[in-house]
Amino acid sequence: MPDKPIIDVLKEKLGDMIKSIDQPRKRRIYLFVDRDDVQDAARTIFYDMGGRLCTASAIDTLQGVEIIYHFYLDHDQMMVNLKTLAPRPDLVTKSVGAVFKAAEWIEREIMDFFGVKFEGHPDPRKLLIADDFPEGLYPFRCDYPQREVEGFKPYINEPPNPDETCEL
Amino acid sequence: MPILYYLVFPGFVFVSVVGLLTAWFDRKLTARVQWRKGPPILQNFYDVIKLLTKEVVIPESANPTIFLLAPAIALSASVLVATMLGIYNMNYNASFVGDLIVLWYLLTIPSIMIILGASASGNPLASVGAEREINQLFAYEFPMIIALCVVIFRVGSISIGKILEYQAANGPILYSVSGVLAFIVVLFALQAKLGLVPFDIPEAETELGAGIFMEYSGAALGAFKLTKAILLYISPVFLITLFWGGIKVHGLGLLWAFLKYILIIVIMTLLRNTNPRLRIDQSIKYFWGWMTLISIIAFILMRVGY
Amino acid sequence: MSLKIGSLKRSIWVYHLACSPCNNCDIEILDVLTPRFDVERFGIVLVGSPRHADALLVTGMVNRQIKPRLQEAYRQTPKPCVVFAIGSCAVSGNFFRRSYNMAGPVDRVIKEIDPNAIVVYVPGCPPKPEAIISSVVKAIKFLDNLKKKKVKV
Repeated sequence: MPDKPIIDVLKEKLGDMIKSIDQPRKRRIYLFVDRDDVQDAARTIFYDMGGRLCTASAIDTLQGVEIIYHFYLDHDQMMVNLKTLAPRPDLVTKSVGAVFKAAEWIEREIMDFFGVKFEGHPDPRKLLIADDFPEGLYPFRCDYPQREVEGFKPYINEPPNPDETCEL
Repeated sequence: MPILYYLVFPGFVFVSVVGLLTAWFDRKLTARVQWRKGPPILQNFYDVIKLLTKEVVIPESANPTIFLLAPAIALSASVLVATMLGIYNMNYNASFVGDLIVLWYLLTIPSIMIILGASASGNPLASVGAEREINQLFAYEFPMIIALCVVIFRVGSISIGKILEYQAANGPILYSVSGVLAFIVVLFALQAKLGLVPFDIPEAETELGAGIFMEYSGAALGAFKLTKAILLYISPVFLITLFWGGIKVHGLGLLWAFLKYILIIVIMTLLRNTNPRLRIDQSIKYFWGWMTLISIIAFILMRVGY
Repeated sequence: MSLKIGSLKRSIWVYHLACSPCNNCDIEILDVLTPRFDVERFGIVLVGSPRHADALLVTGMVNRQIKPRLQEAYRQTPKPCVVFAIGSCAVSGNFFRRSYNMAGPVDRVIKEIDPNAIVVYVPGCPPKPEAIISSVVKAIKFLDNLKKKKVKV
């Protein structure tokens, strides 16, 4: 039974790690932390407040790759979204997968597709992308060359060769 | 000439044609039960001919000798059983003492060849299927032998000719309580030997890919399909010979034999269509539990006189 | 040659090979094999292993991970065999055609290892079961013309 609003509980537990916090709708809280504090914040929400990690999402912006960890507090029916930023030149951040196992695989997927380096990740292998995909190319970034990839010609719509087909 | 008996009648040509037509009847009845039309009458012949014209692919990790010999031996053993049954039904004096045991021994050869061929395939799914076939072989042999003992002890001799003479003199063994119980046990054991649902565990289609026949293709697979069709012909003939008076070739006897044959095939097909597949431990419990109990009861009733 | 083609077109054993589809085409293939359309009249049976198959039903987009496996499965199928590319993802890639993971539509992947392969295209998203059955009929007509040497392959 909630005795205090969740947003106040968060402000109290996380203190000055929070750079900005917002509750735009009844069941959504968005809070932004720095990349060095993300492990402590995730530890608090997961172990102390009983949050369940649903997933993590990432997007490529001008400042860097912004990663959101979505937690759901089952008893209080509140979705807590923990935002962090991996800034532009080197794209490095601390890994939440080192804190609890639930975030391991989703961080491997973000590593595959965005090229973000997670420090302290226990198992940084490829997850979803093909084993022979060229190194250094990350498909979900905004500057990925859609048509020309080395050694791999994408399919261009050619009309069929009349010698190889037949009319029935 | 004896070799013509083996090759033409009642041997390879006759038994292949009748076996493939019986398999067609089974498929057509299955289709009708499922509210659809079934395949045309020559469908199984087209299947076997098409398999003979495809290439035989031998995997690298397989043992080629055993892989290719297994279907050939299985086919020749089942044709031999069919020939023997055909000859004994036409001529009661051609049988010798102990030929029921020879027949039963020859009938286990297709199962053993399937196990050998699947183990020689070099495929892990095929070896799981082979292990299940071994378990099932142990399961259904036991109550089957007790049920066969019912027939042997009642007649007093282990010769098919004497069994047929006894039934000609005293009426079929089926017309008694112990006969009915033994008939049911042998019917279920033959259903398991043929690999029909609910006992098609070795070739479990949705669990194991194609199970024991996974690596077979072309003429080797055609030989196995033909063996299954020939076993489908042998099962009712075996049951009729031992329990229902045999196939009499004079006068109206052929018509009666044909009706009995169709009735047994209909029972097997309806069993196949209305039951789910058992697990291997359920199948072993079924055969060593209920079926053994029923066959022991049949044996005791036969000794008492029923 | 005529016994080969004559018996092949009357009993076609089908193996379903799904290379990362969205599964709508697979549901339509399952619809074709139900008693409503009853393709067992034509001799079409679903089998569990590519070694038993005459026709490979390939659905879905071929991506980098599955391309060597599709080629291996085609090599394991005993010839003569026909490849059906079902759904527009298999025929041309649909809207995945410029994706980062696309390794070519099915006919390009199969013709890399076997230039004489017979590929039948069934477009649609997903194709109706009637379309799949009519493609089998057209494949049979093509095999007949092949037998009579009207068409070279």
